[in-house]
Amino acid sequence: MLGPDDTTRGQRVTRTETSSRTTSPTTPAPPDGTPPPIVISNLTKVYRVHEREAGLRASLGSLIRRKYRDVCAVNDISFSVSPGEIVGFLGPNGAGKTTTLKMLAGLLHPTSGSVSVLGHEPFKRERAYLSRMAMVMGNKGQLQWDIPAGDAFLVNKVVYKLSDADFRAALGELTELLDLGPLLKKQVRSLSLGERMKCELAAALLHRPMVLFLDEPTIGLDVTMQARIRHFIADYNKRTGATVLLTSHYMADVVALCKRVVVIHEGRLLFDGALAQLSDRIAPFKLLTVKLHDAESPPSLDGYGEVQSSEDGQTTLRVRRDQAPAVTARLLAELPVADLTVEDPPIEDVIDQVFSNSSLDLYGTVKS
Amino acid sequence: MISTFGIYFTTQWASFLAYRVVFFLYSMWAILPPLIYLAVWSTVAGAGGIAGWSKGEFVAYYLTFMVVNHLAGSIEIHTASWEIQQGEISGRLLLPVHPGIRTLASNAGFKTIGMVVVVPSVLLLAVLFRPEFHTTPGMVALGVVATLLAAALQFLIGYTIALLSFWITRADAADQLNMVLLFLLSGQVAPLVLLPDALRIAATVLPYRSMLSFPVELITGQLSGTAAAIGFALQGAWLVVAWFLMRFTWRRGVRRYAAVGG
Repeated sequence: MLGPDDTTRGQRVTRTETSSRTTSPTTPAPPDGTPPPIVISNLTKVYRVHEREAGLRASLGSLIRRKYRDVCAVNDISFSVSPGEIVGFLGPNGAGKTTTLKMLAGLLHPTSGSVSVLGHEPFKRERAYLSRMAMVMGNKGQLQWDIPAGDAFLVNKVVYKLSDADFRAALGELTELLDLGPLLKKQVRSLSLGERMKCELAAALLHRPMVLFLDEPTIGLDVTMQARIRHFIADYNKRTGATVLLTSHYMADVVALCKRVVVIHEGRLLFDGALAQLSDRIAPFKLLTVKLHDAESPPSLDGYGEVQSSEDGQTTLRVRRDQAPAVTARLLAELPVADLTVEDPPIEDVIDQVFSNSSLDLYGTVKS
Repeated sequence: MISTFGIYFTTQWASFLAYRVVFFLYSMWAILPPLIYLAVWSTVAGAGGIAGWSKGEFVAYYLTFMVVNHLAGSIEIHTASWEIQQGEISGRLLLPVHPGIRTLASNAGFKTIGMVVVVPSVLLLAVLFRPEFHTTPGMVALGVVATLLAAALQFLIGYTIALLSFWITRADAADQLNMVLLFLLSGQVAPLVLLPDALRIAATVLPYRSMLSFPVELITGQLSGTAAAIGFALQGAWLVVAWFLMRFTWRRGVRRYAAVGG
């Protein structure tokens, strides 16, 4: 776990810090000394993108001279994941999450830095590596649309060289857990979004990968199906000990599955630690809910903190964490307080802040 | 690898059969253009023949051309290129098999099942137009081998062009250029022996004769033993060149894909 002072300007994470995180309470070192299945060191990815102004003139101009701009999608990030961990990889759109996952899966070549998964350099795409990992992209199905899901699973049986017995056992298990029975004979294109995601997950897990990259696995699904997929991922992790790195925009996914989260923003690592401590770093404030005796004409509480809500005689104030004891004392001393509670902000709000545009303030927050 | 090809081959059949009308139209594409030239040349030849070719020989040539055209044709611009453009190649690259095996199985699946359309069509045309074959079983057998080699060559070239999608969004423009050259120099407009010397030499030096005309010439009994041997040597040489070109393009293409987007 990084302490508040471990992060220099909340951006640069050194190799030493990475190893200290690996043995932190949130990422316990395995008792048998197994090396972390995922190790990312100073990883950077720069894209060169073509850009031009709008309009015909610029369009013609770009025929002759093209303008390119370097975009740093991932900027010097380092972290590792222990065997069997489920880590939430969070950040707003365009933060670099998918780029990082693609580098881990071997689809993208890092510009600099290193990636090691199960002891392999993913971009070499060795069969030994590809046979032990899987990546599921929620917004991009990988199953062939024109054939029944059952046929698609048979393709994977052959591609991953699964024995009949292993295939039957894995398919039976996945069919039961995901309730795939009625879906196996349906063409993939005729499945609903949720049904398709269940089949995508099953296809990706038939060969029992030891490392699983899930990029928005519940995107677009209704809450019931989200819960089902979530439960399944937790169950798969528990049964197989697979290591899971998960991106999701749904707070419920992160809260239910991930004890540890890694937050990146604009390609830089902002936070790596326990989900419970994310609020300390991202939202270093407390919520003070005050109820006064004389609720008929309550005085303004603006002077005590940022008023977040005020209704039914109750006012909720947002107060910096380090100032909370002093503000509490002042409130009790200066006002006829009938009731006062001091709480951490709900984790949902914290994650929401990570995903919202206001997360641009995160640097400042982390620095403080 | 064979079992992987086999399972992909099977699923590709199912996939093609899911779009029966489209599949039927694609299959007709191998037949219709040569049919136009069959009609043109058999009319020009009339009762007396032209340049030593009788009407029936033109019919035999073009009917053979239709079958070879279907069996040797490349469809990779519709399969591999599309996968790259749409980003579907990402999913394929995650699997522990070369995505080209699936592309090849798709090609083979299309051709075998397409014979259901091509063979009856050609037989019907044979009844209507009455071909004259002057060939031997040996030459036909050699022609079958040459057809397989032509299919391999067209696949490698078509796949290489499709792989250009790693660099340019519209690799179909490069494919169109290849198709125009194939149209001109593969014996479709006219049997190569009837073309001006310059075009015939170009067709022979470039891979286009090896890609289509050579097997047709063999099956219709136009070639001597020596000419057949030279034709196979040329096919073999172009296959080697096309193989290395494809491998080079694949490696560079995947490297670029990994560099720019994935």
